[in-house]
Amino acid sequence: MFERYHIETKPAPLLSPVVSKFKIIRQENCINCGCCLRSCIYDVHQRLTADPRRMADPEHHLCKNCFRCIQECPAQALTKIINPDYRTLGNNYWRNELISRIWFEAETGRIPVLGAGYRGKFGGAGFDGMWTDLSEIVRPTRDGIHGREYINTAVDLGKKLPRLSFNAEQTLDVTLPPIVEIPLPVIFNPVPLPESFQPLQESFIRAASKLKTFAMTPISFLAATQNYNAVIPRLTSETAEIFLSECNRSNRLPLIVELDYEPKNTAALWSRLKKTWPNLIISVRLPFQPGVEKTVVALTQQGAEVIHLYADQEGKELNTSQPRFLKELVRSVHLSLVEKSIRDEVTLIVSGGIAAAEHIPKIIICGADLVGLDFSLAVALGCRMCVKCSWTDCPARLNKITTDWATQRLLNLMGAWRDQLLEIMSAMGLREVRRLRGETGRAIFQEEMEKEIFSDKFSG
Amino acid sequence: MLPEIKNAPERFKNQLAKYLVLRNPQCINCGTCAVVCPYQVHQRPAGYKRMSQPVHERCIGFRCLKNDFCCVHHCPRQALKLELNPLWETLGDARWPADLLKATWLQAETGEPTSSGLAYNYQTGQSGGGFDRLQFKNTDSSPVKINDNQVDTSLQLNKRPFGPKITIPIPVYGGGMSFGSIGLATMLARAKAAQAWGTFISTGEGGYPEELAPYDNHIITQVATGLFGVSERSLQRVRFMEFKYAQGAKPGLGGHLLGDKNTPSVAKFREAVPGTSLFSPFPFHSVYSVEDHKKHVDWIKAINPNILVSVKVSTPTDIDMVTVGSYYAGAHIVHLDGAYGGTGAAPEIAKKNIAMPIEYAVPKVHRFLCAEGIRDEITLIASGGIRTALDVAKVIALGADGVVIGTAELVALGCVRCGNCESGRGCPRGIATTDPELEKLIDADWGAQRIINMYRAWLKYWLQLLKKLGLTSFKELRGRMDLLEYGTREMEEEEKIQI
Repeated sequence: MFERYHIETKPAPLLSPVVSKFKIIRQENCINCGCCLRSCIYDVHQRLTADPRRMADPEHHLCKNCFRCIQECPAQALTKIINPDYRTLGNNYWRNELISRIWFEAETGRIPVLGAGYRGKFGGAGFDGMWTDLSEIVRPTRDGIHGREYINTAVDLGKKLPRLSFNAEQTLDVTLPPIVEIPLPVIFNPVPLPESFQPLQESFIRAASKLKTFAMTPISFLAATQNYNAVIPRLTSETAEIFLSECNRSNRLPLIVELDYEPKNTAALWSRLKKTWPNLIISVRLPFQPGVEKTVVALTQQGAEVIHLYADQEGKELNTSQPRFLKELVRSVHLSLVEKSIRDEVTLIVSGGIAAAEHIPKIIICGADLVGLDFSLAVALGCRMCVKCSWTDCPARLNKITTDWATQRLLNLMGAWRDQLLEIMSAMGLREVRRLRGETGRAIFQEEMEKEIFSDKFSG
Repeated sequence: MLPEIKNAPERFKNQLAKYLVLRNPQCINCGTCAVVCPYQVHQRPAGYKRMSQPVHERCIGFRCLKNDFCCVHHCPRQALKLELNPLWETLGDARWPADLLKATWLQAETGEPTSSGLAYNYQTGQSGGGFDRLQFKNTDSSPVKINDNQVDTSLQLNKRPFGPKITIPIPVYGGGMSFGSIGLATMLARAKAAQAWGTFISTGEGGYPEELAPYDNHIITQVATGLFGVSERSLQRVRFMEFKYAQGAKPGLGGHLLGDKNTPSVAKFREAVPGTSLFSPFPFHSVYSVEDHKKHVDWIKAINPNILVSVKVSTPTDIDMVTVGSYYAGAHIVHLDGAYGGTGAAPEIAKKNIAMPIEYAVPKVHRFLCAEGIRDEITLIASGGIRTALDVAKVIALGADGVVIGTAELVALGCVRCGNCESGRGCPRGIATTDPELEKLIDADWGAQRIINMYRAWLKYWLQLLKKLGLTSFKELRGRMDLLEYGTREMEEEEKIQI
């Protein structure tokens, strides 16, 4: 029977105190008149329970920035500042508003909805200089997440043959390569996270299992895990033996493994694994770096079925002083495969710098098949991207979290992100995320628009 | 006759100010500051010994320190200190920075352009692109002297050979806000202002209450995908209707009224169950082609042959083709709603990421229509992120005939853009709410006056600008991209330094 894919979300509030954006300051000239209590509809201001003659400290995290208490205070005793902790949250790429949005999504599983219009910058570098298209009227089907028609977010991991051939008896004359379908274009890639995150590996695997997708997993975790169908063990030529012996010992085999690309050894290891287990899907992991297009084309021509390309945590190219951004990198790799007519023969996983729901459809439009999430997983669990990673004194208290709670936060984040993917797809009038791949004609790029609209009129 | 300016001060006691003038206990209440300050920051009411609290919002800030008359230098006890209000950065955002909000509030209060002598920057926002990088070239003043009464700011809404001829005196009318997303008082305030100006406001989707009947000649009724509140009568009462295909802030996602705001009175007009969330699903399920769209337009004209038809669409990559389709279907107006427009409730992801900003869409469509030879038969209206009098002029120079304003009217009523319009009881400041208690915060006549005042101030900006450019009407400005320059990176750098 047809089963509709559904992500079960339920509230899972943060363990550490929320870093609120605003701080209300009650100055010494407060006359405790209670005017603020009456004007605030969000219960920020309350009287002290111990001494009801006095006002309590404001509940900053409830403040929604309406300015009424400040404007109505008869003594002008209230003012507001941006919380210094909020200001230091995150960094240039993982901006504080992205972090608080992920927290909201991981807590509630909901799409952030607000009134008033857009508040941010016009465009900008990276993903901000890109808009997705919509279809105004000519649309066979769609009704958004509330609607009647199903939008499929499933993608395949594996190789597709360029053509099928049949023998004289009209039966298939080729062996179909192994392929796995996952119901959302996301895998978990906690690899770049600091070592200290390792105790959370079980949560990543469990959440991936519930989502019917995969989590990259160090080999050391294989023996312990129950969810063998949700792991992608990560191997190098050095650790391959451990993996082989573990598989023989437990008599279990994952569906996919990932090899770190080593120009000298990868081909041999690849053949060895394929010879032992022809149905094992093998992904090759390599960095976005100058010349990556050539490597990807060469690997694909040699038969690679899945290639995982990673950028740094800000979506930038590695090993160069003039790094390109993820968006340009993926477009370039995608196009070089298209030019050789081999794009469908390989699945591209792209990771590094995926920090918001909209980054997923955008990078797929640029040419990825699916994304790998890294630091967004940590942020979902409360990480503040403070960089001083210490397991024992983590300010976000990651050392205190339980697997159940962490799993729920990850499910919530994915629920919210998938719903937002559906919003984007439904606006575009697409029913299949597979058809989104490489559809740059259904996107608007800032540099192209500025050239088209403004260049012949303006200099500079 | 222009509507009269009347002073309409803000509703709340304390005004938000950019700078704070702090008076320490050293003050001997000598009153020197009140004498020297030309901006009346310092006051001592007659018969009082002590100085009043400084009126911070009038202070022009640090650049005053260079002036001879600066209070800080004149105080014999060094009791005065000037500082940037720490609260200022908590107000507003990149598109509507605190300065822009405050400048608009002052215009709504006084009906005068925000004096450049004041501390509030009304020229651009801080979004770093689009209108915030487009500027009119610094031209020498026009060689011909033009008087105010020679400048024509009017807009003829129907350029086609059929349908009613309607001209509005300013190239602006009010955008769609439904009964439910805003309350009755706000609706009335907008309608009264539209009547005073001889222009229109759109009631959005969801019908409109009887209280608006006296303003029927200035109402635009909307037919949107949910068909909430649409009846033959609602179409026959008015002179102007719009089809809403899509909305810039949430293009392709339909309308959305959360359950809390669907109060019994709102539900009545929408023929819906109170308390349930109402979705107006996208798109029109009866329109999958231009021919279907024409059938829609014909259907409206059969109900009311004498009605002006506008088609409101968002800005996809093929917006030029969509516009031509609407022309073919017989619409009088095509209204492009760009991505950065306002909304009562929209997914955050949709506001930034779907469809192109209006600054790209208008020139694209304008050029296409010119090439097709039908530019002068269709009225092109732009909206979505047009915040100021200058933005209006800029978008006309990019190729629009006129503009629809939504958010700026709400800012005139005192909106701080906190963005809580959608949830719970709605707007804490009483503007976008149907909560019976909060709604009382707005008085319709006061609100109407604030909106009237804001447009009076805008008119002054427009006259000044057109005269400076040597033009006598907005018609002459349309499509004159040569009068604009697109700021380079250096401009952004400059902004950074200023901050």
